[in-house]
Amino acid sequence: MTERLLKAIAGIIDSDTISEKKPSQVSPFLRLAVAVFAIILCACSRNAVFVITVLAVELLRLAFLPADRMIHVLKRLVLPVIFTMLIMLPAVFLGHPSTMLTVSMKVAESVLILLLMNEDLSWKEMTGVFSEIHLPSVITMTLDTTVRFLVILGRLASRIHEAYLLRSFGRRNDRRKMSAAGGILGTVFLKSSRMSQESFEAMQCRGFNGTYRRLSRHSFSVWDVLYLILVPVLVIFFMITQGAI
Amino acid sequence: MNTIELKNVSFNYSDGTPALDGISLSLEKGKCYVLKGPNGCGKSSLFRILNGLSFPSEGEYLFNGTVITRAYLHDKKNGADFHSHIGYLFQDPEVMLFTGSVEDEVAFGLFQLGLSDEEVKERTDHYISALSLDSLRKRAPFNLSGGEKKRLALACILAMEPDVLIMDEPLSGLDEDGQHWITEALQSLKSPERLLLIATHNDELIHEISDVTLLMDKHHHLSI
Repeated sequence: MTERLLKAIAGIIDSDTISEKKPSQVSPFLRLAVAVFAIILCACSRNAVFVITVLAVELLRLAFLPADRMIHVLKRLVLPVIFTMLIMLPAVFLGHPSTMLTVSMKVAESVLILLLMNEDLSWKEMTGVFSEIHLPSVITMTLDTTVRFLVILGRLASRIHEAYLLRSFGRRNDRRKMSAAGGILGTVFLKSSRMSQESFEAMQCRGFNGTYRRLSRHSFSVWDVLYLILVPVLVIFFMITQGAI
Repeated sequence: MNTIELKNVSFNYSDGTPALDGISLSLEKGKCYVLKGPNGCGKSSLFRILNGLSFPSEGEYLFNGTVITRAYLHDKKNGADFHSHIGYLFQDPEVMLFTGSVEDEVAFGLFQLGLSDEEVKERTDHYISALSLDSLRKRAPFNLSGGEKKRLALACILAMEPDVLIMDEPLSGLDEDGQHWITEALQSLKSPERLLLIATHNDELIHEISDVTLLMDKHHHLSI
């Protein structure tokens, strides 16, 4: 248990959200906006055809990923879908099995859209979207700083854990492990507190006045136009399946 | 007029432990000062005072003739003006790097100076090239190696083109090539318009670049 906890903390550094990816060809803002729009349409849809079609398109996109990435996405997708099915199980006994199926598909579709977006976009691009929509820069800065701290402290926890393993060879038991985990977490906490203070001082030394801007911005491209076309296509398809046209 | 002047400065930690004891010092532009002393003698405390991060318990700190106090730096305009003149390279460059990419990191300080977007871009490109960081410009700073982080931290400071450069152990944690690279970079930074103050234990670096060597002892006193 203790080891697993430490590994989980150290494992943060391997998180996909934090790892570096190639810059997206489509504007991250557009990606996020279309994803949210598609999720809203699916949530509003009262017709399974729309949900099934969008889910099929997303699964098709998933099929183009390398095998290891595909497994990675599917592993993350399974849990929320199973959880939803369990919660919706009473609907089956009350004589509405289709409700369970529709809601589960909607959850699968929404989670899949977000997971696929996460596969393509780096955390930098995601936080960059906040500055593009003119949210206060403190939000972007806080997110960037949090990610950075997760990485640095994750590495620190990993190093201390390795040092503990090397020094405690042959005399490990659960009580010792628990006490070591407490020590590691305490050290990481103290280190994080000191680092945040020093980081703030470093920002002060560079004249920090609340400005937090990005140098590079995405310039509008042909890919963005193609991606934008998705919006009317989605709307028209949604209206057709809902019987509005 | 001396750029930096300390008049009988003492500094105690919050628990009353002395870190600096009656230090008087005058530093002028065009010279490279190297500060040497054992661990715990108060070098970092001295640098914190010079950068306006801590304030003397006794005595006065004058920068370009102005007494630097907490109240003086509390005024945003004064604070911005003061920090635009001094660049501080922390011993651990990790704490200095907090943005999402190398180029954003260099641009951060330039945006604080209120420069136009074009000028920020121009200076960022220039200093990224000058410190051989071209191939890393889109990378996240926390994924760089120790030497690369040090170079990036230096680029961030230099891009702001300060008159005074204060560096705490610039060679620590670097391999031989990295140390050689930084030593050469520091030599090239010497100019009549710039004051360099460097804390180091490295005798080779002292020999290569020092104009004046300042010695601090374990009793927190300074001698030249």
